[in-house]
Amino acid sequence: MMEAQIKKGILEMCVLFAIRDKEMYGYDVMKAMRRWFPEVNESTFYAILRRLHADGSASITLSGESNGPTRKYYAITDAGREGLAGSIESWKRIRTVVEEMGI
Amino acid sequence: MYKTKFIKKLRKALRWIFSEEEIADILSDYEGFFASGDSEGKNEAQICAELGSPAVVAQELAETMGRKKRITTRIKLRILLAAVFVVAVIPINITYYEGNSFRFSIAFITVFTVFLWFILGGTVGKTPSTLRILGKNGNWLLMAGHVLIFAFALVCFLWAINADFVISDSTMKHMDIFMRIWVASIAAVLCIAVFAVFGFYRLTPYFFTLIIHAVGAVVFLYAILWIFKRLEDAAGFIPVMMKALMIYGYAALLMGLSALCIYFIQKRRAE
Repeated sequence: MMEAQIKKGILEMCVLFAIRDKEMYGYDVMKAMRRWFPEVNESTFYAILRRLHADGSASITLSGESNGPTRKYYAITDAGREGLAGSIESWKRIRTVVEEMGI
Repeated sequence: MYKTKFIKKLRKALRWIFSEEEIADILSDYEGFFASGDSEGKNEAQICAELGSPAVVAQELAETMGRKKRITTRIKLRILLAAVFVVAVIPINITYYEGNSFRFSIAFITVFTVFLWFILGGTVGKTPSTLRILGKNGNWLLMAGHVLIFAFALVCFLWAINADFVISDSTMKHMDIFMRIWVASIAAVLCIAVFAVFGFYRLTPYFFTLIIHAVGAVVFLYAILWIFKRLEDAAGFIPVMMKALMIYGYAALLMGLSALCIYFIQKRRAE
């Protein structure tokens, strides 16, 4: 249980980090994440993107591609930036502690 | 082939968890992913393999979004209306067996069914997913379909007006026929009430749907009232109504109790 939660938190941080500097098409986020986390199912990242949008961490811009369905571009919001800074902070703290323990 | 199957399965897996608007949104995202994969030169089987199984997608979404399987209000409403429909329409089916002309019963069933269809259709026809399935000309197809069914029911109604409606002595002895019909009428009124609360007052950009459903409901309500007027002329009105009310009250009590049970079971499950 704890493992799943840690994993989810970390993945969420990574997704937010991916859209921090430039807005990204959802499919491209999923593709980029697969490169980093090949064992994680793509739907996990899709779900994370939806959640980030639902809680206001990410905004969506729609763009109609040439004769295809509309694409959703995700960009980080101010609330998302704050959240990301918080998660990076706690991630670093945990990492330091774990390293100090000699694990 | 893979894509169609995937989307269909995903829709099924998402039902009960997300609202119809959310499902339409998720499905459109996944259709977009297929299109994007396609433009990268992947085939549908490859894309499917990458996206994972629809069941996993639904489970992942439900977990991440903190959702549990639930019965949405709209589905509850449909179940309720379906129950009313079953209570009302099945007995009408039997009404033709004594005295009443077969033609009259058929017309009655048609009118009542279409009336209910107009009530229920309002929620089905206006979902974007329906329009997407129908394609670019979806709005026109929907409109043509509506007009066609509307015309068909109207013809049936006119047909019924011209039918001989016979109340024989044996029918008078079988008063339960009238009770059944009254059950149907009260059910119809109930449907209208529900429709008024949940259907009409919901603002929607699909004005055509709204208007045709409003007109349809009024026309078919009139049709039903007219049929009852004929019944009223033909037989004792008040005693039949009283008996029917008692029976319907009993049925409503049972249905209400079961609805309450379902509600509390769902609530407990959600907690």
